[in-house]
Amino acid sequence: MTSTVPTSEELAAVAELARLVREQLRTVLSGLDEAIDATLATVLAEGHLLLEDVPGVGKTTLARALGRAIDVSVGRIQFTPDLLPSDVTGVSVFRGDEHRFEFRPGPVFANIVVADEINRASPKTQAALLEAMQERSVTVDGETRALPAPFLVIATQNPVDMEGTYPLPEAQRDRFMARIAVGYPSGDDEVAMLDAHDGHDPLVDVVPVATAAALTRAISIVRAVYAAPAVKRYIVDVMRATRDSSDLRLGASPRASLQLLSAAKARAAMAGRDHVLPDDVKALAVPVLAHRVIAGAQARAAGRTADTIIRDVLDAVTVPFSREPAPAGRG
Amino acid sequence: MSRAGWRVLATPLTAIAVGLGLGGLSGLVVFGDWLGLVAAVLVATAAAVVLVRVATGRPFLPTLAGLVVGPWLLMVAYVPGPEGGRTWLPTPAAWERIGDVATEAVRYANATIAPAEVAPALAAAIAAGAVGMFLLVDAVAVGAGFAATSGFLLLVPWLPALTLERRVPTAALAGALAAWLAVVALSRRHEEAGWRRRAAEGASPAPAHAAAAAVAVTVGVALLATPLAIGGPGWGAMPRVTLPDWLGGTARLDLEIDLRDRLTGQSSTTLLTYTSTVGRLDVLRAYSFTSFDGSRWDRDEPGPTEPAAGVLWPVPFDSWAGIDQESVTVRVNDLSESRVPVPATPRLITAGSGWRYEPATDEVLIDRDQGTQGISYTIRHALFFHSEESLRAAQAAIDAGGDAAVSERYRELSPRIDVERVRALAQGVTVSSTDRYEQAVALQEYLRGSGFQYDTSVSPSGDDAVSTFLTDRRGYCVQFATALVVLARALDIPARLAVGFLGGSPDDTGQFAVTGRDAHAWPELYFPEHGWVRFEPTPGQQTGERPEYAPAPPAAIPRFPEEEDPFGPRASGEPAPPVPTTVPSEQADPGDAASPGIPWVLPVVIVALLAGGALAWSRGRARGGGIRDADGAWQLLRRELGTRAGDDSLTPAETERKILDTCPDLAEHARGGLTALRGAVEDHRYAPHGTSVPTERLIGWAREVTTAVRDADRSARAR
Repeated sequence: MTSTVPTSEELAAVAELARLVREQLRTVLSGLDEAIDATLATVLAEGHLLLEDVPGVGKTTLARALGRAIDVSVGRIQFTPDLLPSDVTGVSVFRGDEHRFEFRPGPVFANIVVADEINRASPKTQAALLEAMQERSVTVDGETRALPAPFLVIATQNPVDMEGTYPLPEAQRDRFMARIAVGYPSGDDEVAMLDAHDGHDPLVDVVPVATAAALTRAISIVRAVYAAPAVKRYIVDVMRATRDSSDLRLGASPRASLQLLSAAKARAAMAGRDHVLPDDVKALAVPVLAHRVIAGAQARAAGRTADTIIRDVLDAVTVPFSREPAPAGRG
Repeated sequence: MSRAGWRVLATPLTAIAVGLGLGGLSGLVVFGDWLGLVAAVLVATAAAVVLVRVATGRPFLPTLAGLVVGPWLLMVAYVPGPEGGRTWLPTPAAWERIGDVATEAVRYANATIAPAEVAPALAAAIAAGAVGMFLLVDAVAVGAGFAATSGFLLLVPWLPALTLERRVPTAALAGALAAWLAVVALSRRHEEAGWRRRAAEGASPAPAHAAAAAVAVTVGVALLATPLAIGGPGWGAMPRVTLPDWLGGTARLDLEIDLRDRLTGQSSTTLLTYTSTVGRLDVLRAYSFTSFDGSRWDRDEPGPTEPAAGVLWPVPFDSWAGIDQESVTVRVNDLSESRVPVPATPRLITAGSGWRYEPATDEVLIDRDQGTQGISYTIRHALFFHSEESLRAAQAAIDAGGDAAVSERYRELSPRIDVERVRALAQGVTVSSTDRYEQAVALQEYLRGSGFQYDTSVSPSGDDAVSTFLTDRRGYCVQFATALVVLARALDIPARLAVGFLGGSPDDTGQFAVTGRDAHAWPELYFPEHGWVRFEPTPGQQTGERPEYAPAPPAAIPRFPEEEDPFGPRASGEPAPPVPTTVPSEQADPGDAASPGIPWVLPVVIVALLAGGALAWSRGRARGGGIRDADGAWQLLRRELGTRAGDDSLTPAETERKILDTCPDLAEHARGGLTALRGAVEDHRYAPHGTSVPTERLIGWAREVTTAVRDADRSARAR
């Protein structure tokens, strides 16, 4: 399956799935197409998502709507300082009648886990979730249990209200494929939102449009999307540019390269394409890279953020020019 | 203009550029009526090529037609028929006559001095060159679409003039340049028309290696091949290449005269100028040499001198007032010699003091640190001092032992010289001569003919350089002059070598300018009661004319037969040259039978040129010199649109958006073309199977968008 590029029927299926889910999400969040598309790309690339923005712009709504639109099991964890790791992973309880311990799975045993305000939990609890994200399995009482597939974590955090929080360290932020700043809606979109919320919870209107099986299949199709050597070199060039940039104290990691490519493949498949374009890479570079890099002190003093620096990097890197001989190419 | 249209226009322009290229020969040949026939042949060939171009769309078919028509026209125009008519068909007999014309052309070119009168055979060669050049340039520029590159070929006829610093008609040069530029402009405007349809789009700039190869080939031809080629036989009319006076400062004659050295370092700097009442001097004499050891000449020890007063001439002389004289005023520039250049006949120095005269060597000495540099002087000298009659009359004094008046050393031959063979040759050459004058003329004519070639390079030689020269028959004035001295001495005639200058050439002000390349050596033979008499054995360019008292003998005088020549090809064991079945009339003399042969350098140069060009071209193609794919078409579009297509950091889709943003009025069809081209280039670069859209269509889209953007700009400005 992964050895050949997806057929047009497969790609049409992915595009259709993305279109349906996008429509559902739009009913609750108006005017956030870019965030929605990046979210979908991350989901289809089986990546974890970090929604980061000020309170009230719809982070949790987006996460929950996504869980509803896809007919999969959804676990929701509200992170608080007193949340314990076992509250996330689950716990073994003793069943006196059967004289044995029985594992009670925590909320992490779901296809989509919505982790609200992840930075409010203690580092120990954060680590438990992040380990599950990385390993796609949970080890409790010495026993390793696989998490369901697909497995996606959608975490939200509030970057402003920092009191009493435990900000995620860089190494752990790196585990999220993308960070999406939801952003404020435009005036018209906000009016539309008021209309939608008038009198009832729009989340109720979100109906499941895709099954877990369809999502799994879409994810495997996405993996098979073709990335030309020129595209891979473009990704590497962008990565190198972030590492060489004097504005950045920390550049993007090799894992970022892999995840950027995966996300770009997903975006290509969503457009019904069997190959990645540099445009896919460009569109996802900020969501995939900005939360992993650290702006230097001078750049911060100049009012520049990781987002703007990444955009500058994209404006400076040459898009690879020539077609290179590819193994599956026409030679 | 239609596709055929530009080519139909470009071919005549090419013919014009080639025809005007004949102007590059202005320093070498004398223009005259022959130009008309050359032009007619060229025009007719061009017309044939144009007609075939109009009739067919094939790029090289016209060239093939020209290759048939051109040579046929040349044959009709220049090859005489058996009974004086024209040759219409290339029969075997006609082929022989064609060969005769070719041989004659080479022989004639070899025997003449620039600027040469153009004989019909030479005109035929020039016409053939022009037709060949036209067909080549047309095939390259119009057929293959390398219009710019064809400029290198068009440069070829101008190369001799350029390298030799000759003047060329400015109008012809400008016209040829304009015609070539017009061809380039036409081909650029219709790039998709040529055979090189894809490559001619030239989207990416010419690769550096291709440019370097072109430059290397051109420079190589200019600096290496041209001197090589014109050093070969068949180029007698061509002035020899001279090297600049690298070291600057003052010039001096090279008195280290060694026959084994090649001639180098001739300067084109004007060394002295003079004004003369009757015209050019034959020679200006400075030094004489007596001792020859087989390869080197040595100066004599200084002999007794006297003040340079009165008429200067080594033998008693009493009728100065009774002979024609002329006055010459010489102004020496950057020439620092210890001997004053003077005419080689009795002379009276009327201005200039403190000079001394050495009768034995016939040299005028100047005792001054800077030598002759910067001096001016006026000389009256005898005209027509020697004559055939007076020189023949000297035979009585010779028979009476008049040679005793000069040193025995003028008759000595070095033991290193193969005296027996030299003497056998000298006696053979002069076998029918009855007196010293006839002997001298026979020796002179032997060296001016008999297949001797003027050549600034000489064959490697041992101690007996004269024997080497008489065998190889290649050399410059020193070899020729020395050979005549040695041959004369072998006949017991007192002889020596004189060194000085030829008479130079007139400049715009009517003065005569003598440059470094006029430096010359010649033999002087002693005639009792006359003194030392100059003869001129050096043929080709670097020579004075034959002295008026020693003209070319009438053809009736039998020449020395080649097969009896002890230094001839047969004597040296080589097979005799094939005897031509038809002997051209000019070659009736057996002494001239050794034809110069085909100039082998020419094919070598042409082959090297073509091979170099083909190599550079194929490498350029292999590395993607032109538009071969969607990337090329995309780059073409971006280059044409400049900044509005954005920079290298934009993806094709972003570029498309930028173009649409900056050009909102873009025509609908162009939008479609732009989107299609963008999609194709994306597929080509990034899709697993590339794009299947033909490159021609991609280029068409790129052109369409470019044109539409410009149209939109124009209408926007109009508003």
